[in-house]
Amino acid sequence: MPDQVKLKIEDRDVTVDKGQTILDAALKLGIIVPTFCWDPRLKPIAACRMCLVEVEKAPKLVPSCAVPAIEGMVVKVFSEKAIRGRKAVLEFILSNHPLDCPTCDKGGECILQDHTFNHGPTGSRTIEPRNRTIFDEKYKFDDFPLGPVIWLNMNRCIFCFKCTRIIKEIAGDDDLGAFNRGYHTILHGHKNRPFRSEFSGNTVENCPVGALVANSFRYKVRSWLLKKTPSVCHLCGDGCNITLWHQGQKLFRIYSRWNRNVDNGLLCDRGRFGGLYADSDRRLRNPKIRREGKLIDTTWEEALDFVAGNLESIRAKFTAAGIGVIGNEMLSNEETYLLSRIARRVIGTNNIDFRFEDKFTPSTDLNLKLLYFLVKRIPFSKFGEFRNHLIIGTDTEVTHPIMTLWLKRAISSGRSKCYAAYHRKTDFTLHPVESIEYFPQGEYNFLLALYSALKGKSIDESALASGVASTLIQRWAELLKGSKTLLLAGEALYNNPRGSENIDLLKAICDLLGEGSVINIPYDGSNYLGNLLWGATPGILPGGSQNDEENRSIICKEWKCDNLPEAGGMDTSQMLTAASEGKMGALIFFGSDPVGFYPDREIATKAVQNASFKVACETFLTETGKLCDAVLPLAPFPECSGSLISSEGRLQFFEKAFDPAYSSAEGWRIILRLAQRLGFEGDYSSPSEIWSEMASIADKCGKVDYKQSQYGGQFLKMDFAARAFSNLDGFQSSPLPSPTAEFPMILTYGASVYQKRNLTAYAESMDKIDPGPKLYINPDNAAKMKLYEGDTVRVSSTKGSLTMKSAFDYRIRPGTVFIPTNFQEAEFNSLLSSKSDLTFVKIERL
Amino acid sequence: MVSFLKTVIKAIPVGLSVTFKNIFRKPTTLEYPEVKPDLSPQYRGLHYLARYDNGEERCVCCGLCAAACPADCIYMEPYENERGERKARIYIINEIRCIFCGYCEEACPEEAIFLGKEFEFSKYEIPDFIYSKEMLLGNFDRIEMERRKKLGMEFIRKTRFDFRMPTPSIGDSESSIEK
Ligand code: SF4
Ligand code: SF4
Ligand code: SF4
Ligand code: SF4
Ligand code: FES
Repeated sequence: MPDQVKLKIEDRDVTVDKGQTILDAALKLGIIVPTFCWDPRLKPIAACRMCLVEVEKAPKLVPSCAVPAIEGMVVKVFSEKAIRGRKAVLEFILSNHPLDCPTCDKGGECILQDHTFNHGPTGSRTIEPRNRTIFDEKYKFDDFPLGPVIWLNMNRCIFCFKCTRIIKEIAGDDDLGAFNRGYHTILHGHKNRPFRSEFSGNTVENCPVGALVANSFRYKVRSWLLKKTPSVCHLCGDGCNITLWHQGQKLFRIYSRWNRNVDNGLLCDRGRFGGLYADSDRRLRNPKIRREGKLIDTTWEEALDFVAGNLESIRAKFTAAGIGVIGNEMLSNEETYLLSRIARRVIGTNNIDFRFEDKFTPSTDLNLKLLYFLVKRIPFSKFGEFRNHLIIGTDTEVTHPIMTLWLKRAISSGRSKCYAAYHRKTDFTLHPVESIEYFPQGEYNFLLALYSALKGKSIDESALASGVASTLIQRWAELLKGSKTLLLAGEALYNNPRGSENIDLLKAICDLLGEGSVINIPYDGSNYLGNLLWGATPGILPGGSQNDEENRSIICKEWKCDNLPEAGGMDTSQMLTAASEGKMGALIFFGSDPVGFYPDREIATKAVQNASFKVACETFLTETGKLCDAVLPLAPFPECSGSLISSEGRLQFFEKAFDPAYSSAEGWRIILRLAQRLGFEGDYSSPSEIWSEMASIADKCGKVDYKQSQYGGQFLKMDFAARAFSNLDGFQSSPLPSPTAEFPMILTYGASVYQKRNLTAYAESMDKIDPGPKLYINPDNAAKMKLYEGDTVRVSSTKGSLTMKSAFDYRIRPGTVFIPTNFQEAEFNSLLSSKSDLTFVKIERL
Repeated sequence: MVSFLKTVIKAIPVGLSVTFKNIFRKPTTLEYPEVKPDLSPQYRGLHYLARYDNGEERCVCCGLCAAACPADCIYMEPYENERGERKARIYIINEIRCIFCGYCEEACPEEAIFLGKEFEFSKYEIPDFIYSKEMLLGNFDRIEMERRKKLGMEFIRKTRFDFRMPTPSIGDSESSIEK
């Protein structure tokens, strides 16, 4: 074969593709060559010379990680010359190494230790003092905080430049660099700026020595004492595979579990450091019930009896339709299924929802349309096959950090181009990405304009209404036309007053683009998809089928009951509105916090206050929990097992690392015990029992192929009926309301890149990464208001006002301001009203 | 019968000869506790945690002693001290589980943990055998004090970090401090 070369390594023949290195060929034979700077994901730079091998006829030893294999090469890895060469390299590396292994947190898992032990010299030939790099006298022991979460000890660095290359080549940022030369090299962020990146934790995990150490792990524990449990990150829809390193009931760190198809050994800082929230000692410890107006600690028995008794009496008074269940998208499939079962079968209501952060919850029809797109899912690893990527209505770097890395990889390989449309610039759009910023909630007009442009119709009106120059949209239409495009539709499209129209338009656009174009919906939340499939919305039954007569009878047969509640049922907005008017008897919050996050604090607070009985099941006491009659401590993910379906459509299992700490309990156990008190006869002893029941339901419904269930995370096969998409002829652009003179700015809000709701804020060192809520404003707007960075401002809308510090962000669209939603104390939602689509605010300097 | 008597009469002097031989020997038992045993230089007794000459503890809480310990009786938790160094916040040896093998001493890269010569530390309660870092450092201080007393040196220690005492070599019994 012409594209293959044959060579001999250690007297064994091997054939590899042209362009592969000697190291690749050796690995193919199972010969391990020691390396420091080589990483399969990075371009070889041959910085460390640890991988020297002898090649016949070559004058010197060659670094095998960088030299391509050539036809007829004869390579010796273990010849005396090669062994001596590697020993000399190690002696050289060690000549300035401090050898402070006893105090180094990498001790015991250090590649330099291993290589020295296996290949290195046995003693030192030098007596001279070793080189020390001290950044600042203030920091003794030569450690230096490189960024908010990472410490650097330059003495230990062996100059493999993995850290800088990961940040540059993979994350695509320029936040970390190497300065000076030789043993005077230092690593640093930009001048006078700490090193910050959403992916900074990967440098720590991949540093072969202990030069980079995470703040949360420094001087904490020795690595050999820790146990490792495979798990899945719960903090976004990417479903990165992680390993939990824990001792007893203490979680020490989160490392990647290397799934080539999902994360490729990388994690974002939210998952890596934020996931440690589970270890916080501010967690809820005991069940609490309200006695004489105060929440007091009690036992599980008493608390569950109290809750069940109250629910019984509410059901008698209000009928089952007066009870509502609000879950959250981080619950596992098993928990969701059980929650759906207790709501529909035991309580007898269809009032169940899992979204509580959205003003415009998608209708059942829209949900089914979203599920229909799942039939043709594209795994991350296939992103590179698309000519163009069109991202609309999301900041992927925030909602799907690791998916963004795959997009970046597709771009940097030169095969693909990205087009991103959102109401502001994002970090991602700083890369070679074409970006459009439309008005907040201008998705509909933008899509209509793009659709018309592709159809060759006039677009002036809709482009104007979306706030984008029509020439720009025309240009995009020309560039995208006829090419194989992956459309990534963000949450802003379906959590939108015109959600259904948006999706219809998107479908129509997809059909107009080149052959093979596909729509993917990257759901926001670790198990959004699982919640849709397992019945956490009123209109969809467990198994993913619509809540109608026929499907109900299938489920009835499985659940051995006569009937299930008729279709109907309220979503979160409807439940909260009804409750605020005093029409709901009981509300059950399962990991949800509407008071803190529902985009209308007034209604959410009233709803919780006016419901006759309310119970919250949560890990940390939330704003909602404080108003509830009973609060049950829910164990966070390291203490539970179950399965998640990532937004990519992958079914992944996670294991329990240790038993729930304090008196908290796993979600499924709480639901089960409550259900049993309400008259449910079934019993399960582990999530896998629930799992087998679910598999048989999935089988009957025929929507998801749920049979394969080993480790590793399969790409689920799904089969959903095609939906009727509306005829677009009648679609008219609809101008958005414009700001008034009194309230001149548009308020936008969303998650910050480092945080997931308020959970991650409980993790150690997260306050350093992302301290406190701020009002982000475009510098142009700020200049007009004579506002300086860090000024205290008052933001007011018709609903209320907040005081916070201001910060500049040129990515914000002029005329809008942005508030991150992750800080409980910020109460951002007290500015919002569920009645109006957009919120206008005024900013005053205090 | 006669042969039996013959055997007995023959055996008596043989047995007694052993007795008489040993009556004039120096006894191997000791009048403990009045008389203390002479310990072998390799004797491994109660642990102590050594200090530097300036009084600072040597242990950096690296965990190697605990890793080496076959009885799993050492537990520790590190912390960062005010000067940014790694030191032990908690360092515990459970002396009742310890088998006095000395592996910890062998493993220690900082020459911090030693097994001393002290063997008289019996107690009434099991929890009393759990030695904290302070107790282990105290063992060192006591041993050091005794050694210096033996060498005729005055033991001055004003603060925790204040030893101010050069460690003299044996034979240097004239204390340099008094001069
Ligand atoms: S800090 Fe670590 S990863 Fe970075 S160059 Fe030094 S040894 Fe390599
Ligand atoms: S990208 Fe998402 S799944 Fe991966 S580590 Fe970050 S938060 Fe977790
Ligand atoms: S002497 Fe042996 S058993 Fe005792 S603490 Fe040291 S290593 Fe452990
Ligand atoms: S006594 Fe020695 S081996 Fe044990 S933790 Fe301290 S320094 Fe390490
Ligand atoms: S691994 Fe080949 S030179 Fe570093």
